[in-house]
Amino acid sequence: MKPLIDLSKIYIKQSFQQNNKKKRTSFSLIASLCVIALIVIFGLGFSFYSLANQLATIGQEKMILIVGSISASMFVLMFTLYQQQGFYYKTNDYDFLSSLPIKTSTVVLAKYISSYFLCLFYHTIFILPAFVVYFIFTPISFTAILYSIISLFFSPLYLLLISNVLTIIINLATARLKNKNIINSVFTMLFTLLIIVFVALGNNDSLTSFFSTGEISIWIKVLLPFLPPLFNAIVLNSFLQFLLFLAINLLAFGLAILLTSLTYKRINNFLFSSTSKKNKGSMQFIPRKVTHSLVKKDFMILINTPVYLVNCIIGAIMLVFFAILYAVLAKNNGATASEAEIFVGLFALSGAMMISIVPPSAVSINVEGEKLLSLKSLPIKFIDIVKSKLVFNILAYFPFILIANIIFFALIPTNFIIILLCLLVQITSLFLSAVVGLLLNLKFPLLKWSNVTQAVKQSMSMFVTMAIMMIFCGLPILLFIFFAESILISLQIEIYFLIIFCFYILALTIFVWILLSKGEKLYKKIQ
Amino acid sequence: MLQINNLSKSFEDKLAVDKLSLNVSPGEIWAFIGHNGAGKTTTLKAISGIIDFDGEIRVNSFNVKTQPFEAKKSLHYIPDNPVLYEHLTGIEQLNFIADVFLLSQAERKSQIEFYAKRLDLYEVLSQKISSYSHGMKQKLAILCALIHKPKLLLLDEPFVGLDPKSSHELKLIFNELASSGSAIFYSTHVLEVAEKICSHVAIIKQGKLVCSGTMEKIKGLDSLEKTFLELEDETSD
Repeated sequence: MKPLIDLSKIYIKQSFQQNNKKKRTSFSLIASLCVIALIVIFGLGFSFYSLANQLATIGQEKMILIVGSISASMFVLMFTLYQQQGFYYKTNDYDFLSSLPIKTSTVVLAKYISSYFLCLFYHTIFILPAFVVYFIFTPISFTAILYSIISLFFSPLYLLLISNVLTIIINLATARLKNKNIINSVFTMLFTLLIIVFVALGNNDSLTSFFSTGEISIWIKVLLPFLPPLFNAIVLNSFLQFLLFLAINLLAFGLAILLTSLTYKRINNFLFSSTSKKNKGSMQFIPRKVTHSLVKKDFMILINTPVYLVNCIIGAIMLVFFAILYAVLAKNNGATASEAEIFVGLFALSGAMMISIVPPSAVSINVEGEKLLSLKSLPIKFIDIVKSKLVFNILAYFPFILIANIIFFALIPTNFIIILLCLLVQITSLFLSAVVGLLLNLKFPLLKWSNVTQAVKQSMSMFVTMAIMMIFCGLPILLFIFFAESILISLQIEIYFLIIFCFYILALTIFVWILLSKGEKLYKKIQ
Repeated sequence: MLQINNLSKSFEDKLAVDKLSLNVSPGEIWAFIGHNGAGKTTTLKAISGIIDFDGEIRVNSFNVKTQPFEAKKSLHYIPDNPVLYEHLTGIEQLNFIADVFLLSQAERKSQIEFYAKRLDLYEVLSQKISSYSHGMKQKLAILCALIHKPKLLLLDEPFVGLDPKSSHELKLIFNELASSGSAIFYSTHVLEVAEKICSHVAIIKQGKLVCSGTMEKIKGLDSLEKTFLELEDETSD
């Protein structure tokens, strides 16, 4: 029991560890987490409330629990799926822990506990608004509230089982392959996309099924078996159903530990032993510019680090996915010219958010790890480091912006000015996020980590960048949703895009000035 | 080549290096010795501009604090644990360094071939660094330094992990570099090797320089190990 407690403590402590140990840093971390949580809770709460209002007119407001749970589950799965890779596989402490007399199941359980807390955080901020909205619309009962609160702690157990199983499948399938890192990333992104599709289709299907048969759809019962008993427990105040909910999640917990323990060593042994010793083509000695070499190096790190790649590229993939989704929705619903402009607005603004929220530059210093210190000893000018990190960030996303815009405007043709402004809004938000991300990573670097998930997903720079970009990109979206009619009729969408573009240019100018005036000092301080 | 004046560095409350002053001239090979935690790595990191510090350090007459770019052009630092970009191949890593030091195609080709063959690394340069053993990574890190002929070579425990042949080759390379006017300043615990190849020695204890000078002057007729242990005891008293 002692090793388990010790290991769990270490992993949880590492999850919140940052290079800068000042109290102010911890405060900033907590503050940015709260800002992100509040923005998500407010956004979700608002959309759940609107939906519950509509459902209340037909007396089905309780369905908000199902919609909320499906959305929360799928978001959590999406976030945890690729994080699990970093938690369990190819971690820096694998050799050390393997040499100690500690059972594999103990190591797995300790890692599971630390990932559980992260999962619990994500799940709570996604499900909480649904519970609040539900209790606004239905009479409050003590047992229902109690069941809801307890369910917050148990629901992540089943979700962790699903992400653990998917991670095991992906790694077992790819660990012995030649280009395992890239294939692993492709598999992870495919599963993540499938999850997004399930969110979109699942909510629609569950509502249709409930209205036609009064029952929860069969695929929800199969994929998320804990959901129907939880729904019944809260709605009907059924203790028996609540016990069933607990049993399913506890069983899921046991299965997750068992399956991960059984495969943990096998997968890690494959991953550590299957490094190719083959020559990669002939040797070339072609001189290149320093910035070019630095960008190439950054891309090599990105491509070969699945957690990093998926974390950064998922926004770009979602941009393309939503471009298709919005365009198809507008086409299928036979949208009029002004209705189509709403879809154009949503595509431009939400697209800007998707490509800006997790910029690679926000963790590009972190993923260098201790190699950054060697880099610092080389005669590379700070401006070259800045240029390379920004170019890398922009190049990683630019093709996706082009593809998404070509697809969207091919399906929803509009005038050239709107297309140009839509592109400008997305590109400037991309520049802005790259600059903000790099600046914050210089301010909050995390060079010592035991798994790459820590550097990518649990770093202060990523959280603060997310919070700032949520504000910069979320504000125009909220204004557009609230005042769509006024914007489209009195202001015209072109003018609205132009205002957003000017706002981003202004913010970009300020952040570039800060980066150039303070960045070098921050870079020198990293040690 | 290297002038250190009153170098001090503290981490939070702990003074890691205390007013250290030292001069290294071209062609000299210095052994920098001291017990674990004495401040050797901190000193090397300060010289190479990785960490900030109090005092003044000049490399090839360029101030590390105010002219870091110019100073770094003249030096190369190799840490004790070779940190390389594992996803690159050996040749990609070397080309990266060559790009940083603006080496021409002909220059980099000849230097890489010359030193890689001497260190038995040429055949594996097209492989990914992640497939290298610890010793091979150490040799690649050394190779990275050698290809651009640095005027000041800083190394932290360079012989750790090297096989006997490579170790021998590295000693020869050190001598060749020193003969061509480069200065070498390296930290080590292998006193027998230091005694054989170094012209100078500096001993550090708890951040303070205990003594420095030519090898003959410091050790006299005794062995370096005996001298070092005596100095350690004396300063403890």
